[in-house]
Amino acid sequence: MSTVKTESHFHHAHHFDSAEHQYSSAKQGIWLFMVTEILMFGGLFVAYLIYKSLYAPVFHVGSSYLDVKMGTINTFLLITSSFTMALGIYFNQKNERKKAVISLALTILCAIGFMTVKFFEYNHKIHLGLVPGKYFNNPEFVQKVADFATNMQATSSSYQEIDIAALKKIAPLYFGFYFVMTGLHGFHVIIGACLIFWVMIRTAKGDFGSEYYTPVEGVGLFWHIVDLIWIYLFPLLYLVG
Amino acid sequence: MEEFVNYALYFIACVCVLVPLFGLGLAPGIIVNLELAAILGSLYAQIVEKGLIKALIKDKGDSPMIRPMVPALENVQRTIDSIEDGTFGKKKIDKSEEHGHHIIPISVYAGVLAILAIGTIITVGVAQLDFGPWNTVIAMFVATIKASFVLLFFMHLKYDNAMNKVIFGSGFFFLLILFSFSVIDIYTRIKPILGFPKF
Repeated sequence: MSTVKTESHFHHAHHFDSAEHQYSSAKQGIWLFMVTEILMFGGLFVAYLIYKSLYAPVFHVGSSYLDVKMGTINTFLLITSSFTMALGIYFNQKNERKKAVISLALTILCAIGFMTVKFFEYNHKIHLGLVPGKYFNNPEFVQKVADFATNMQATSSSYQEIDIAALKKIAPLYFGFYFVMTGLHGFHVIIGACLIFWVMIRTAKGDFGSEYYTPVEGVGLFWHIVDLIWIYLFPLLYLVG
Repeated sequence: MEEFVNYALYFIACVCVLVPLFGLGLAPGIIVNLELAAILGSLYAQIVEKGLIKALIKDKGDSPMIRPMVPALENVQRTIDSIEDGTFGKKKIDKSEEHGHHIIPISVYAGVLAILAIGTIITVGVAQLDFGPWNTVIAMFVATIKASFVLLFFMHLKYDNAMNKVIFGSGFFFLLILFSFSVIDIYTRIKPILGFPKF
């Protein structure tokens, strides 16, 4: 016996008043999780602010080492993926399963594109020895920071307090911030892509429909937070050195 | 009732953090919290247990001062009654089930995507020009506008219930505390370099 399932027949769990109650409780849990995500990245952003204020020339020279073109491509990939993710939820709400699967597949493609660009960026940095901590091996960068600070001191007496020896010592820190912040974000992109793959399979199997699409909504919220963090990360790291 | 308890918990969390933060120290903070609880408790006892609102409507409902307030007072009494017999908040869930989920049309999503793309182009374009310290301000301003559109429409926060808005707002609130105290600390100790000279 085989039956074609045209719509999901969802029954809410017994400890909820209604399906709506279950949906809003699940969503509330996801929002609480989103708050912890924002606090985690927020801590990194505040640390970035503190060190950027303390050692501004390092961050200025450091950001000139990042490829704005690649960063811009990645920004467009992520905002497009956010759009297709929203469409994935929309088509589930409208019971258009095929279109929902296509939207989710496009979202995964954008995520793969993002990580590919990231791979080439990381590869280039590692090749140049621009890595955090004791593995840092690029005397040219340190020299550039020192030259930049010397030039600054030559232009105005207000920059006399800059401690060039301290700047030279702290220089690799910029790439510490770069790799930790984009790395943690990239980790979220990979996890997000896996979760989208999971809801895509379940959508294709017909588990979701207008009555029940909570997992798609939750994964969507997570994916949009990933986009949201990149919206701040991109100008901070690539543009305003 | 559970919604009421949720809001109350958030309120207590905010009070507990804010009171010690703003210079009272830990012990005076506890005292202030206890006093607040005592005031709220006594108010509750007077209004609910002694039935002050009911008495007011019954005794002075005809006087010109009280008459315009009677509908509002009756509303408050109904809310108190619903809290008492545990039906508070339950009606609300039933109501939202009638409406179903709000479905945002594709055109809105496409509009948000266009705004995000334009915002990205503006951010990249402005970064090529030199506005000194204003470069950071402009970039963060544009980023905040983009983030708000993602939150309101992609994440459906505009059509979400108040609880999720409060949860999200509380996250940003605590981030703001961390951020502002760090800024105050750094900028009172060092002379920050905000813009760079051209050479």
